[in-house]
Amino acid sequence: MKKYNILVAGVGGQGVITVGRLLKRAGLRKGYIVVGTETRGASQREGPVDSAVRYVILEDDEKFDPRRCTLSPIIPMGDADMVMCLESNEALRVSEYISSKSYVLINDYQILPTRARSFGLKMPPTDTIANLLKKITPNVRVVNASAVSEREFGDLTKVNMIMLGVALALGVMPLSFEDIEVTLREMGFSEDNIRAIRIGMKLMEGEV
Amino acid sequence: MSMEEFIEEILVDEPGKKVILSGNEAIVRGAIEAGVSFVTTYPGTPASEIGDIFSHICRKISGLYFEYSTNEIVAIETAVGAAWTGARALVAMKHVGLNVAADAFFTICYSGPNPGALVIAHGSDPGCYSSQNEQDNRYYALHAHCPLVQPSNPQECKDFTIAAFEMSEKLDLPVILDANMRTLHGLGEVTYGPINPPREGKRFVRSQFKYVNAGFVALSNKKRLLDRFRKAEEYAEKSDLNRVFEGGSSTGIITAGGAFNYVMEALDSLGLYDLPVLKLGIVHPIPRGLIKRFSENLERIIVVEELEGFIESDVKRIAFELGLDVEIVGKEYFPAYGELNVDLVVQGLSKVLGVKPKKNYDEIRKLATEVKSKYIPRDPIFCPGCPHRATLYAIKKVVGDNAIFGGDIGCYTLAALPPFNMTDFVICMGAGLSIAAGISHIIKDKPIIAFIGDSTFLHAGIPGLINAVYNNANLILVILDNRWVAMTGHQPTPATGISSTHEPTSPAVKLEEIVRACGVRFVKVFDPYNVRSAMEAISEALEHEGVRVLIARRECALQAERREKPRRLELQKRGIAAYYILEPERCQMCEECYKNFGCPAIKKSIIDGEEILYIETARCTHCDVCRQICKSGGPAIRKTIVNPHLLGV
Ligand SMILES: Cc1ncc(C[n+]2csc(CCOP(=O)(O)OP(=O)(O)O)c2C)c(N)n1
Repeated sequence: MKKYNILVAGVGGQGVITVGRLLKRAGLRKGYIVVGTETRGASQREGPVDSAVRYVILEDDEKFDPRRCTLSPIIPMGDADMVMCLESNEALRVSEYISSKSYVLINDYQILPTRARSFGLKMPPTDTIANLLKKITPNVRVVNASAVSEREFGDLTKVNMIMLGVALALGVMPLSFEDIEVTLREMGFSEDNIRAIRIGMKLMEGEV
Repeated sequence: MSMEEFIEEILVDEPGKKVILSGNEAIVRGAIEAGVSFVTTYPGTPASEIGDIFSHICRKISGLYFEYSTNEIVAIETAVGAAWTGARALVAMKHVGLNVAADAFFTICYSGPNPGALVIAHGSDPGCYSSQNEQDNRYYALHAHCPLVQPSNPQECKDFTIAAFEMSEKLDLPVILDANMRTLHGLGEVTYGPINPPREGKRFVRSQFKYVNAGFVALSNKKRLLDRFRKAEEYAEKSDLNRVFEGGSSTGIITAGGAFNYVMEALDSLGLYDLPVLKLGIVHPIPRGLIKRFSENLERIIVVEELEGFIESDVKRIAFELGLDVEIVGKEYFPAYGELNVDLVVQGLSKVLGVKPKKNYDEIRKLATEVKSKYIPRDPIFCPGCPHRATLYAIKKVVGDNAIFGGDIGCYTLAALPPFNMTDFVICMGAGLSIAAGISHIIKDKPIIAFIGDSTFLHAGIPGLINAVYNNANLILVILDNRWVAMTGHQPTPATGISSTHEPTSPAVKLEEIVRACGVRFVKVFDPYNVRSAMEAISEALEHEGVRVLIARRECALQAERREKPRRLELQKRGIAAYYILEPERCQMCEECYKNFGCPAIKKSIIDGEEILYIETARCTHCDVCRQICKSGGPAIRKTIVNPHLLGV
């Protein structure tokens, strides 16, 4: 039996909930036990948004054991295996879920909180944020998903899928491109989303 | 998934089908499987989606009635009316909604919902994520002798809803289905059961001894209530909603609801698999036989529950009454405030049991705290084009900080935050007005201004307004009329002009007519997008005495944008584009629009080493307010239309 925890974090309107729902459905298709939650209290109002996706993956001969397979909807401290941050300031917020084993992807994009506006606070740039997180895990990568989305699709709507593509290409998630592709089609997503995931995967491969 | 596809999926009659649902969605499915025929609600996070889904599926199921009620007491009364004709009725609300419904709720328990059934689906909010408090409504159940069940995951949300209907019908008592935010917003697998046709109400049979709670009838109903509650105890004794996970250890755990998941995962993470666990599905009444059997070979019981030590007190009481020789611990190891989680339960359990957690919490926390210290908290903000922002801006321009501001609950609670800081107290829906009235009887040297949303006004503002007028309070009430219940997901109000099931109608009520009928003489309606007229209305109100009402009328920008944006994009395809631009050459960087008005569509950037402001076209809703308030002589902001001549084509 294996557990796998994915955390998607960002700001309202960035598509955090959409990737979360996609990953949950894809996991269910694979026969995993899927649990998760969405924090979106103030999402329409530029508040922080999270989606936690948790899988229990049983071997073929394993049976469901409530003592070992019951998951809480929130990821315990340090237990996130994959963290996708669609906005870099938000990566700082979710640091308690990250351990030395986590993979962290940070989109090089910032949305200035109003508090910073009112009090003239400066946000640390994405690279500084990535270096801070490297104190916790070596597996931190900055991805220029917003720039790529803007260039390829004319707006920022595909950032979430590009990030997912990068995550898939890392080859550490218990899901393949095909798993995601079928699920996207089932959910009625447009081909552009599939193209965005492919672009994300290429981005990653180009870097390695 | 589109709404249509979702509706199809949640209504499909395919027993055995597995889907991913949230707790809220699962409650809807459970109610449908149980043959619910009558649903009422007043929205409130985390339970709003229950009503919202019913508002969309209602017309697909013949014999199903749904309404958005004006508040929770109205909702529960309407629902019990249907139950008294034989319907299976559901009422959904958030935890504080039960305060509003309480007056009816207590006495409904006296009468009982038979011949129908009444389930109160209700969302609690440990951690106060979107509420003014985190009250533990299990005490309502205790106080009213009302059974209460707590599901732990979406599958149980569905199954417990069905069980709750059966219990309610059988016991002639309402049943509270109490789920926390994590369970309602959490997602998990749900296996469908068969759908039963709506159990509709048929006739109302007069039965004064059951329904007329006055004098001796009320008293005899109280006695009947105690009898029915005793039956509930017998029912709970046999119910399979309570489950025992066996184990050989002499320490056992009792838990329920969301806390169950934390307990199981915490035990797994501690590598402890032999502690017996009693998971209570029915949390009130807790059956004493079950507690007795569970504690037979135990020396110690640890009670793990969210919020107050409700189960803990009850188990201690039962242990005392039965003379059980077992130590019972609970809240001294687990916090009675905020949300629980796996880590808090691991730490609590390891303290009681004297074992060491596998994780080094100090180390994780130390690192995370260091990293997190660089995080700039992201306060929620008014959306671009939000009419509330424009109203607050205009008021601030006229009265400055020299006023007492009564706040209330809704999107406009954000008035408390920068750049406005225009809220001095928030208690509950409708309280802002009457607290301001109270202050106005004492403080005479400052304007007193109370805010209230349109939905909040209809929910809880009217008695307060009548009282303020009758008793000569001296204040300005600003009704922020954005046409919708915006905060909880844009439900309609009786003044919207949309029915509970989304058909256009004419508005059932007009706010200014209500206000005048309450006895208010000074009533002015203004459009907050017109800054000058807004400021004039406010100045005029300040010149008068007594209760004055200003209605700031402009539709929620999110709702308006949902209609307008596709239109703009369509025009763009024809080569016509209108947008607002901020010209850096004219801008004097006074930052009035950026800082004091604070529209998030106005942004700062650095070009050639110099700071400039610009408007993010994709987010601008064309409200025009920034143009009106621009101070750079000859405004730096203007609307540009590309190819206007094409418009006539
Ligand atoms: C008793 C009670 N019921 C429900 C809620 C949830 N709730 C918070 S604000 C609000 C209404 C907001 O609508 P409105 O007053 O029109 O203001 P808007 O958000 O549209 O600005 C509701 C239903 C609550 N806080 N208390």
